[in-house]
Amino acid sequence: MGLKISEEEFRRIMESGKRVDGRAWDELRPIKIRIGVTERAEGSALFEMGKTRVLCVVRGPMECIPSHIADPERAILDVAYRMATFSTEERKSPTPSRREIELSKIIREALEPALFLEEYPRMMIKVYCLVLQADAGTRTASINAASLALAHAGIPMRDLVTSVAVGYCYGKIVVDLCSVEDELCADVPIAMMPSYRKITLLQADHRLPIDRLPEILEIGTKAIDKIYQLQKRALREMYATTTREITGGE
Amino acid sequence: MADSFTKAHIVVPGDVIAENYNYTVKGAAIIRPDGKIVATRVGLLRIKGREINVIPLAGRYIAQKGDSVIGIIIDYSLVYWLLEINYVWKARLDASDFLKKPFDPTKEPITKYLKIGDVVYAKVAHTERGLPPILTCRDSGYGKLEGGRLISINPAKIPRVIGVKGSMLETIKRITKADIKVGANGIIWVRAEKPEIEELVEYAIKRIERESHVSGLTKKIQNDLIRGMHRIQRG
Repeated sequence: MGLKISEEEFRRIMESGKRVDGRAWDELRPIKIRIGVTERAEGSALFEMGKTRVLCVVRGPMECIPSHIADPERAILDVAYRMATFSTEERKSPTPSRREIELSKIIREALEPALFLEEYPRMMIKVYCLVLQADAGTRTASINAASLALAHAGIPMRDLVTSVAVGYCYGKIVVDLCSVEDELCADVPIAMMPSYRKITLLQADHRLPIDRLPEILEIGTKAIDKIYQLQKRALREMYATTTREITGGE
Repeated sequence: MADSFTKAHIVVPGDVIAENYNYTVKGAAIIRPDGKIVATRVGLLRIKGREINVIPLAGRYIAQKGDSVIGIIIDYSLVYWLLEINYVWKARLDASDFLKKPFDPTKEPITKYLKIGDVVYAKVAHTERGLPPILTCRDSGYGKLEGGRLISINPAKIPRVIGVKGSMLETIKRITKADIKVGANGIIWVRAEKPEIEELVEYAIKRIERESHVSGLTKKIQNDLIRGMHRIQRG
């Protein structure tokens, strides 16, 4: 899977003003969203961004398990980010790795500001993000899928959380990195509540000049707005049949 | 902004419904500190005069005081039963609230009245943040449900099963002559003369859940039921 090219070749392509997969600098990979893919759980969503494919399932609000971690003031948000053994080129061990545990925490912290957890005291909301196919940007795709699954589960939210990765290399800013770019660029994942203009996640995994950060954020925000519109459209279409239900009845 | 939402309209979390303080808010919406009114859940938007109401379309059943629910006994103690009502917690029903008279556990066992697996139609008497709800059968019409069958559907579709001013439910009851109790928690109890009639009602309710978006559904269900009843009576 993915292209294999050397660093020099990558640099040559970037400096000639192109991206390795031929996209424009601010072009997203094709996005596909399906909501309500599992029947038993309260909420579920499948989010695809290029070759990255993430399934997110939400259960709850439910009784807190184990009960000693229950908070009398608010619900516990439990996020599990996992990569399927078949999601990567080489088989991934099913044991949760350090990276998966860290990303679970990162995703939880990106989602928490959007939720009214205080409405469900002593309860638990479980979010499972399963990466079915990994091709860079799995954490951003997981956040996008999780916010849709939470909305589908009927959990009250301030806003949907939308996320995208922006990269910086050889003086160029690229949006929604593919796996080659992910390896060779500085990667800046951003998550936002778009209607509040509030950032809930901002990371950087490599050095980048601080004076380019405002530009990176601006470009990221524009990309996030595009994904946000797609998320809202997907949710509306999912419930479109239900509207006619109630308007037809009354 | 609000004027563009006058008809029934689907809103999703984060949708700005109105941008000023001229409205009061009901249901799944909030007024943000900056004065904008936004939806917090996927729901149907209704604007009546100065009132904005978002009716949620998804979500688990959340017990509210005054709801009529159907529960199944799963446990008991000396003086109360615990019922599964499709909520986060099991609900508690005190023996005195069920019997409508004082109950003395030293004189008789609680299982004399209700055993594990029995089905009860009750009202939510009290709910408290983070604690199990308390049920009561003190009002008329509530009590143990004997015989019949239970049908479980999505709690969000219960209003459609009841219909406008109870029209759908009345239609089903009139044609099939079945006893039906509808719980706000998505559980429906049906008892009829013959099991075939119960099956017919179950089919009708599942069809309402599945095809709830079809307009004129009450008529279609009515035709279905009449045809079904003819077939059952002919044998």
